[in-house]
Amino acid sequence: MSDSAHLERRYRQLLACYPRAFRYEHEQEILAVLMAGADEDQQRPRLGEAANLIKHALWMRLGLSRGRIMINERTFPIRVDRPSRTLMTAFGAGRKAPLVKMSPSTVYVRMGWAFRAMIPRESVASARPLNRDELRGPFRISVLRGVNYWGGTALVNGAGTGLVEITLDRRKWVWLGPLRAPMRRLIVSAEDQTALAVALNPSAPPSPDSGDPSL
Amino acid sequence: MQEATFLILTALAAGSQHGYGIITDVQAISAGRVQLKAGTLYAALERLRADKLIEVDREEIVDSRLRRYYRLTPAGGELLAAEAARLQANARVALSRLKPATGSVT
Repeated sequence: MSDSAHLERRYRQLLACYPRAFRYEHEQEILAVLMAGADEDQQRPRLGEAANLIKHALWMRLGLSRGRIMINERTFPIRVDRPSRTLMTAFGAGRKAPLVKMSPSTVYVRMGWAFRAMIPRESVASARPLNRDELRGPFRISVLRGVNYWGGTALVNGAGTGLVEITLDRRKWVWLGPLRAPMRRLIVSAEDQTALAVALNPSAPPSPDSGDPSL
Repeated sequence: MQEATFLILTALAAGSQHGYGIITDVQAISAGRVQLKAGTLYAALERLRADKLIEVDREEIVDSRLRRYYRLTPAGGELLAAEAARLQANARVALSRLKPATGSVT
């Protein structure tokens, strides 16, 4: 087997780490880039190159590939009242401000280490402001704060007001601390309840002009 | 915006390019400082494409390998222009403050 065929096979093995859909779309293209960047007599993938491919493949599989490439986005802080802030800081969840970030393609929700979700924009079926008394089941306990999960619904809040209910068109796996759980409905407490509900609504086209994308 | 993202958009600003073209171009623009790896490049391209800042221009088969050419969308061009203006304004302030108040810059 020639060096280049051998090398290409090795690269193919590495690319197998990527999700199938991504591979179907990009494998040929990435292979061409990798082979173009290889030396004449190179037989194995370079260590750095291999590590980089595996890293990005894992991120993609874990739904974290958004990584640091956040552009053209708007940020909506999650509302946290003063007593909750103290409590959440005590539990280590409040070091980074909890927020909802939105780009034309993705909605990203984070509350410290306790909650992380990466939701494709097109999966958002609806979003609306929600009153406290509309909450059902265990969520009716009015002092609930932080991250609570019950039957496919996640309540991610730092306050009992400003709630926005986000319904997805299918279940989406999200991170509850170190665990993954399927989520169909997400309720967050937003600083700006109306703005978040409006921006999330699928009928409203994502408008990069209305936000302040890069500053 | 991250520097790698900025450089990828810059590489596409003058016209469409394929993956390996972007890597070599980014290296040239940054005077060899930024060497994109394939994994990083395609994660960025995927994101930029999802955010409609770039799009596929055309596909070619060269030496029996697929080449996909990407180009900026109008939104991508606007974003790059805004970011470039911001960086330029920052740089101008930095340089003017470094300048000795009376003498000329050497």
